[in-house]
Amino acid sequence: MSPWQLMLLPFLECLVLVGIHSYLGIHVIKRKVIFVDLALAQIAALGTIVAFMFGISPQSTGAYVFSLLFTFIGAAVFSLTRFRKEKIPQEAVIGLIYAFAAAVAILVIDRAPHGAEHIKEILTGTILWVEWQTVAIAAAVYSGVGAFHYLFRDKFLLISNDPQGAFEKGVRVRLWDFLFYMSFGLVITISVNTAGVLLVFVFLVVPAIMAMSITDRLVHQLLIGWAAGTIVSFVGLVGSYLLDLPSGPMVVAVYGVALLLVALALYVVRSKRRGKATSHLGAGLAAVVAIVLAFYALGTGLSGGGNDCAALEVDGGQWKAHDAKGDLLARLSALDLVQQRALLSEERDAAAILSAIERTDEEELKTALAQRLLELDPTKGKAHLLDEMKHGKLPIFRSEALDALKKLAQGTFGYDPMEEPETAANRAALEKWDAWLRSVSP
Amino acid sequence: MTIHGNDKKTRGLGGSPPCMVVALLCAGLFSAPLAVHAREGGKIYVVSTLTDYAAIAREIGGDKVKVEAIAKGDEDSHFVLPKPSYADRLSRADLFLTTGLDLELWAPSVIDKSQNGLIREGQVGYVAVSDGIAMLEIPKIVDRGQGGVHVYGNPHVHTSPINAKVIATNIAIGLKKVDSKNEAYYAAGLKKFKNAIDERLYGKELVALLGGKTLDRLAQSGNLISFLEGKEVGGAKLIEKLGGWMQEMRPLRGKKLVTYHKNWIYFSQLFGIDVIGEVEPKPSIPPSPGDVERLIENMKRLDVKVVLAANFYDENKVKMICRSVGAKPIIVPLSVEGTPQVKNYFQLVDTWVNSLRTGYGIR
Repeated sequence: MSPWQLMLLPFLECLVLVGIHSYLGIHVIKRKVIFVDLALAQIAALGTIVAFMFGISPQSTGAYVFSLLFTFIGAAVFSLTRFRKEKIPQEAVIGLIYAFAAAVAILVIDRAPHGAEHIKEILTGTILWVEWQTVAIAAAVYSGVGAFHYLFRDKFLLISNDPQGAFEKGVRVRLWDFLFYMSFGLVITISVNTAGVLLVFVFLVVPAIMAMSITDRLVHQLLIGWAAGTIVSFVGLVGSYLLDLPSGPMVVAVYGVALLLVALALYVVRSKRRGKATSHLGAGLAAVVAIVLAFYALGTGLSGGGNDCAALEVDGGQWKAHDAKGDLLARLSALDLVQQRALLSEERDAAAILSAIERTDEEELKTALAQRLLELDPTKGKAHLLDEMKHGKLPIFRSEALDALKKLAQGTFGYDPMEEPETAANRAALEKWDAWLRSVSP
Repeated sequence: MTIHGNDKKTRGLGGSPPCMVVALLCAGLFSAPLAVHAREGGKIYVVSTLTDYAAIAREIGGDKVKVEAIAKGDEDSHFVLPKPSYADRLSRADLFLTTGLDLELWAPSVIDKSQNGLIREGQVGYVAVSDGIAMLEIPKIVDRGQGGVHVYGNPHVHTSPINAKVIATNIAIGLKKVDSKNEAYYAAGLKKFKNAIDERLYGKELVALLGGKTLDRLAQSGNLISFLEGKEVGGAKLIEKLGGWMQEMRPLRGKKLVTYHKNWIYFSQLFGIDVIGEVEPKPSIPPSPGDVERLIENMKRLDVKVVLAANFYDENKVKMICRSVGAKPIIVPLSVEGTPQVKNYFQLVDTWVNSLRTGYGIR
């Protein structure tokens, strides 16, 4: 998969977002309701979660209808809380609604833990995973909203620019406010789902701030916003790809840097005495560097100097190496049947094997040890293998012991390892085995 | 000779009663503080962090215990919001079961809040169920830059039935410590559970032949299948005796799988499934384009057809990824009670096994 294939859809989604959000952002800033998108996004999320309580799965059409209806309720609340004489700033109401919606969402989600992941998701978004259909639907809806706003541009601009004047002219400010927030909510519900709250917020605010600080004409503002958004999205996504960092947060960070650069450039260009402004800029830069260095010094100082991460290295190999030198039984019990035999074929110390046999009550280990013992000390080996045939509880080890001994005795004396040693036939056979053992022992 | 022998015997007998009295006294003294707790209907009150541990505790404790879990079965155990009822439950608990690693980072604060001294780490009422489990993915270098890195290794230990037996053993030891008079009952419960796991994992016949422990060792080292294929006992190949989950998962050995998060490491290691990557390698941090690119490339190159995800993750995201590479999303509960149908540990593993078989098109 080429980087182009991977990043194309996220980039197109960014362009679609830039188109409508740069415009809506201008309204948002003029109305001084910067955080309205956060509040609406949170209300939309609440809608999704409430839908989930009814068994509607998140991001289905049903859930979308729910979140949309919730944002419309939010829109109604926002239009009703814009007072003619502003005593309480609307930003306070918006903040409160955000807090309430977030808290209620957590309370609701407590009854349906499934949705918890969804709440986290709305912060960072999933722009990297965006699909053709999503981009297409977003483009269609945003175009519709754009057309609606273009059609009624006089009313919308009037109530954003000069609400007092609009009231006086007899414009139904509440109605148009409601329509504004409703169309805004329609956009936000879709965009937050893919881009996440952080990204939507900067798409909304940053191009608008840039444009409004450069020019006062709406058309120019829009053009500047769109151009800036396109460039920043491109740089952000390319940076995310090259530096291998999450895309959404990367675009947000690039937006921040871009805004800073524009502000500084404007400061120098607009000031009457360029030389003085440039020197201010230099001083500011020096101050920033100094602050960064100070924090760096503080950080390394407080952490005890240097990078201690390596000291915390977990040495996974050490205990094993240590164990390997240790007791035979301890080494064996960490291995499976096949590995035990491989290890034992290297063991030449019959005394160590004998001591291990006596200390374990596991048939698996006893049999493996006795099989090796048979090669090193045949007499004791035979005795222990016969012991397994007499007392073993698991057929496979009785069978292993028999296999080792039957070669030497050239027969089984009628012993059947698949049957319990206590059966009459096996008891008779074991007596013969005992006699054989006595006859071969010195 | 006889007199001497008798003498010895008498001394032996005479020695034991005082010993027993002391032991009883000790037991009485140590269990005295426990009596302070109002036992729920005379039962030992066990509180666990995860539903899986609660389910196992119920198997062992039977009607001698009352068991409750804090996290819900369909909740991401990394992130549980503390509620007042948790502290209340823990304040009455006789026994607290937790993974004992850095999975439930919210647990210590809840214990503190409960002010129940008996269930603090190191006390009799505290059980770290992961004790003695061979951990996988122990990081070489501990660095929070890796997202929610677990310094002790991958903490989702309950996904391997072999680990479930270790967990059960730890729980049984805990129950014995706080309720020593029912020791035999818990030992029997533990034995029954372990045997049930063995039979469900390998099939009854094979367990009778080789025993659970031998089979576990072979299974964990990955030698089980080749050993069974090469071994004949009593005129029959051992592999023909294989049953249970191991047999059901045999067609899936060596198959490639992508999981949403590293939840099934122990499970896939046991059943020989090759997990080639994760959708979200660092928990709660969205993947970078490079991560996604590598994943998609690997999935296409290795022809990975299945993505396994726990049902608390964003289902839509899992489906989107599957669509982009033509894979099948398999969404399952990670824990007992993760869906209403999964009521105990056996049903949980059944669900994973059956879902995966369906995912790979095996009927």
